[in-house]
Amino acid sequence: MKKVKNLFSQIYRSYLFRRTIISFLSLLGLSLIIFALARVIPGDPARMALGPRAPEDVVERYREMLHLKDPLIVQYYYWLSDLFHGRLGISLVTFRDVSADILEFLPATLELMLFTAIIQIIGTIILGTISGCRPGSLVDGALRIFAYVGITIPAFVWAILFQLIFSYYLGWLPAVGRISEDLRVPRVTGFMLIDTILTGNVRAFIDALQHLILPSLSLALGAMAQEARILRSSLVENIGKDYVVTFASHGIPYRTVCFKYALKPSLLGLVPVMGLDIASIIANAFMVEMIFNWPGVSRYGITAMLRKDLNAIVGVVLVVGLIYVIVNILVDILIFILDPRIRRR
Amino acid sequence: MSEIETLLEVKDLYVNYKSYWYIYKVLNGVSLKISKGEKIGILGESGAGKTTLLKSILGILPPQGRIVKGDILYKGRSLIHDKKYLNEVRRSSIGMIFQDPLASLNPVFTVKEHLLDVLKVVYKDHNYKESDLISIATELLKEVMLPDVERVLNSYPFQLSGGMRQRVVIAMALASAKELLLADEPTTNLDVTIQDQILRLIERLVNEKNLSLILVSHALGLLFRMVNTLYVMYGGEIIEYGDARKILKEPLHPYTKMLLISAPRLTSSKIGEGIKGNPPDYRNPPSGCRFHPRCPFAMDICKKEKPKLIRIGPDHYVACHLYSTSDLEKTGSGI
Repeated sequence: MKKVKNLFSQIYRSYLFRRTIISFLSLLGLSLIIFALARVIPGDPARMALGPRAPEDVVERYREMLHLKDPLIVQYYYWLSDLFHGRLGISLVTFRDVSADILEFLPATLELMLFTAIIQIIGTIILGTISGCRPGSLVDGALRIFAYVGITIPAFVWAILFQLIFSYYLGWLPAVGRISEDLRVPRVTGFMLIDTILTGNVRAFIDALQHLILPSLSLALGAMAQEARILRSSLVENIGKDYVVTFASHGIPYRTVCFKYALKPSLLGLVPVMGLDIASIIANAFMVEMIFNWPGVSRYGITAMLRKDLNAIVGVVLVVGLIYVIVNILVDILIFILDPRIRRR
Repeated sequence: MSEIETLLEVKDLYVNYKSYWYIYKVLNGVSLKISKGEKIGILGESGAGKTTLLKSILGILPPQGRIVKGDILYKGRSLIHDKKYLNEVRRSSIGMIFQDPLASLNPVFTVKEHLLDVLKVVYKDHNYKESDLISIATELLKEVMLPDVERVLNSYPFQLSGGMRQRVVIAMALASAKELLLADEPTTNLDVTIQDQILRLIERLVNEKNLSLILVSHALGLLFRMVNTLYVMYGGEIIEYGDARKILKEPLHPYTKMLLISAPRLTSSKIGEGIKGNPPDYRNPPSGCRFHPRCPFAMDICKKEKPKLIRIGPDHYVACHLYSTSDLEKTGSGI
């Protein structure tokens, strides 16, 4: 217990603290870029919002309300302070509050992301270690082929394929949506799996799980194949190193040697790649959410882009950036725990 | 020397390494014998197959390496064909100290984790608790003269100096070396003052625990001091062996002679001549005697026939056509 407490105090004091500040700064940079983009794009936001037939004096007053007549730096200040208060403005198309919209759609996307990440991590570690510990074996050969296929075929193709095979032809799993239409689940957290448990609805839980499988599998496959190959080659390399061979020379079973002494140093290189892949799930999710009609923030984003709904786009991009930053902080923490050389510095 | 006393016997061992394009024929019929309490040294230039020999004994050749012929017997039982016996021997009879102490400890585990896992398999049948194993580990670290054992146990390798790391490696090797210690150039990558300490430590421990020792080294003085029997390797073959003092004073094989002459000496003003030419190309090793392209005394027969080890005197064997049969008288006086 004391060890854990020490660990956390260390994290706070140095490494994580520094990393968080850096992440915060990068978010600030991102906001600056987004702000600049939103202002550089030609067109008058006030006129766009109110439409061509609104009288000029109303538009003028709206411009003042949006601080559009102030210098850019002042505009940025207002925009940023709105941001901190969670005000992302009003959608230019639907006139709904963008932050409320995003809060409504985000849990569905996060649920999909987390489920995908879990599949991806478990699959990577199982496939990577089996083929890395037995290079040249049947599993290893199969993984090689799977990796090439997985890397070359983009997620949305998998999505269509899976939909065809498992829903249309085999009828095992539902094709679209988060939950069957006849089931009513009251919204508590917005995470379907959690809400169904909270309301004690087992049938709905299983139903929601079935809806999750195909979209997350199609999102997970590509990155999983790639990561499993990375893990495999770094395992193969580590198994030949003296610091792993030493343990074999003491008669420690190959399984222990491989899963413990070779795997842990191999993970160090894999975790950052994995983090980036997990963060980029949200980018890949744009297409997959469309295909599975998943009511998530990515689908919301696509709709906004097609309609040039500037405020909504800004909101979605900020959410994506925030997710990247959070995943990266998690990666840093994981590396911190895995690698004593960083921990004791 | 009766058969029963023989601890380890390597019999006519051939080891190949396979790369994508080539087969490297490294060990070319190596035989070696060590009896209980004996200390033998293996001398030879880099790439002569010394490490390959030690690794084959423990069955830890890299995946490209393969024993193609020959056998390794420990107390009369084969280590190559009986994997279960090999694991038994690895656990509680033979320990190995690797070449580079900086590379032989796992960077992401503490010294304690290293030692505990080794001790767990060594004392598998004893039903020891973890606290018992920790006290054994503490004892081991004290034996290798590490100061502040508590701190060392909880340290990661990168927090220890090179000398300390090699002591930890020795402690690990000692955990399983109840009968035989293999030391593969145990002082490479350490600075000179530490080298001497480490060697004294190994010498003391081997004597105290009455272990047999196979010591691989380039350091002639060290071999002279520590071993009874010396094997000289060239190009994956044993070309001369016998009593260490005798070989170092009166070497017979041209390679051994040249090797001893080229050893740098503080008393000499010149740098040694070295041996002209390169070590053999294992992809396509020279026919006959593998040393013949570099040998100043090469004869026709050297290219055709691999010389057998022949007995020259008590405890002195050499594999060289110069000494076969009738030529002995003429060329025995040497270079």
